[in-house]
Amino acid sequence: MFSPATAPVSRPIAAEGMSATEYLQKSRDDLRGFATRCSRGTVGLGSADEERASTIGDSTTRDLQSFRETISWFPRSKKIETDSTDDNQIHSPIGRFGYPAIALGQTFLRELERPERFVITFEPHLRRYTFKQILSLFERLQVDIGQPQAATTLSELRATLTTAYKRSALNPETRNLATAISLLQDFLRPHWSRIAAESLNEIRKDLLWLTSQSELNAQVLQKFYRDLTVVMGQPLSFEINDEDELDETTE
Amino acid sequence: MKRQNELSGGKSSEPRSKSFLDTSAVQKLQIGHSRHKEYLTEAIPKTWYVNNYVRMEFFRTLLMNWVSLYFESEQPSHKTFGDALKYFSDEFGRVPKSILNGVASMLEVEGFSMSDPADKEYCRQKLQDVIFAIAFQFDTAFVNTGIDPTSCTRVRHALRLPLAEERDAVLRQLSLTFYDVAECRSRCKVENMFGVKKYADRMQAVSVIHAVGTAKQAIGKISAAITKAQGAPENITCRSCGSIGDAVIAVSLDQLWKLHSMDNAHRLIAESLQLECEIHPSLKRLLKPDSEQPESEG
Repeated sequence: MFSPATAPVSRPIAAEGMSATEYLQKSRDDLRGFATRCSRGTVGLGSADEERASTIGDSTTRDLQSFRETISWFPRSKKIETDSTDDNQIHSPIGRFGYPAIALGQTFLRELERPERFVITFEPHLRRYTFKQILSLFERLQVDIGQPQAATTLSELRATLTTAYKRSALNPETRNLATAISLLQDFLRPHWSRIAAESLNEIRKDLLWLTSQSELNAQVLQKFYRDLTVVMGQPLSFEINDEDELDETTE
Repeated sequence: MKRQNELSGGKSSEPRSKSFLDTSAVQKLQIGHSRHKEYLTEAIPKTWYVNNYVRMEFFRTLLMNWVSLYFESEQPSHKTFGDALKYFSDEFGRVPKSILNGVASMLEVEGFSMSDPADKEYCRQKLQDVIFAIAFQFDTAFVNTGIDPTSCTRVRHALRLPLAEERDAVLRQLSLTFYDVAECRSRCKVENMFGVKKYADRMQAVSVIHAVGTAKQAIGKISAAITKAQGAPENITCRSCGSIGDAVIAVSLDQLWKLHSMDNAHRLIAESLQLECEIHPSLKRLLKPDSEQPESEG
């Protein structure tokens, strides 16, 4: 299979007579185009990448086609180290795909979105990606608790859980991941307005444990349920209030 | 043997009577208002025991309705999950609407749309997750005594999470088994309640309860159904068994147990059987401003 890491390196080449500013502009355009292709999410490689890949040979191009059909791209932050303070000095550390990361003078490009391959139909990848998102929101919520912005973070977390559920619920491969998210939703629902930072910390540990499992099977989910019960102290809640109807237990 | 000893009070350090929960209390602990759950969790000493018959009643009242709704909502005639919910609620009037509304409000809180056809399948899958989660929760929260004189066979196995692709099949099988009442009746031994002396005598005691007030109607129905069943136990059906459910549960308990219920009829039934019983307050009563620390009615 085609591996981007082994693709030929392609640096922006400074044309004769090109000034440093023009070179920088060209590099920025290159980066912008690359970022756009990455942000498409499920479109795979762009035409420039295919063109580059075609230089390797026909078989690689064929691999690339199937590769494009099955993968999605998710950005991963890569910190670019630079200590440049010289306006005229251009650093072009070559990224994984041969694109330069640039730091010019005081204009530090500290974070460069770097793509990482995830096959979202492959449950462990989707699980890792999903829980990473949730854990990151948990971390943020722990800081925000007691602050006015906590409600916004909670809203974001709930939306993230729902999106994650929808992403995983209809595929048999990832169905158990949806069940894990569903348990999380059900356990957190009664506690949204008064969730404690300590509880979030314990749930984070449970999620990390869940991420480390090789397979999300029924036994793993049952343990996850028990762990959540220990942390939240209350079983699933549906808040059904109608007394008269619920008390009707005869057939 | 160890389990039998434990159930019969083999450990002297434990309280004399153990907590046996009626279906009404089980439901409140499973899907009730959080305030009610907190109260019951405090008020009912653990361990919480139930039997096979209570499990059947819990499935009948709650989970089987959700399972039916799950398959009903699969029909293409229901464009949205809300359509299926409304159809189910209107068509089957006996199904407590609150149970259906509980599902609807839960889904809406989570951000699933009742009116968007694109969300219909997500709602169905979420409902499926809830069914399995509640079934698992029932098995972890309550201990089955293993004592059920009726040997009810409507829920023959614990409902556990199967492989993803087998989930529908498992729910379908559960439903088919549960509603095959002729087969279930042919396997059960509900006639023991009228043929075995220790149970028959207690059933007789329940059938002659003289009730007044709010419980009069409920007790009257139970007495009439018991009298009819005493005449021809072989003619008892799952439906008629359902109408004497409160009596079946109480009669199957002996003095080692304390019955915890939300149902006022149980107070009179327990009195007639000289069974320790506690009737817990309703949510309405619990939430009244002047009942900060409600006293149970038992």
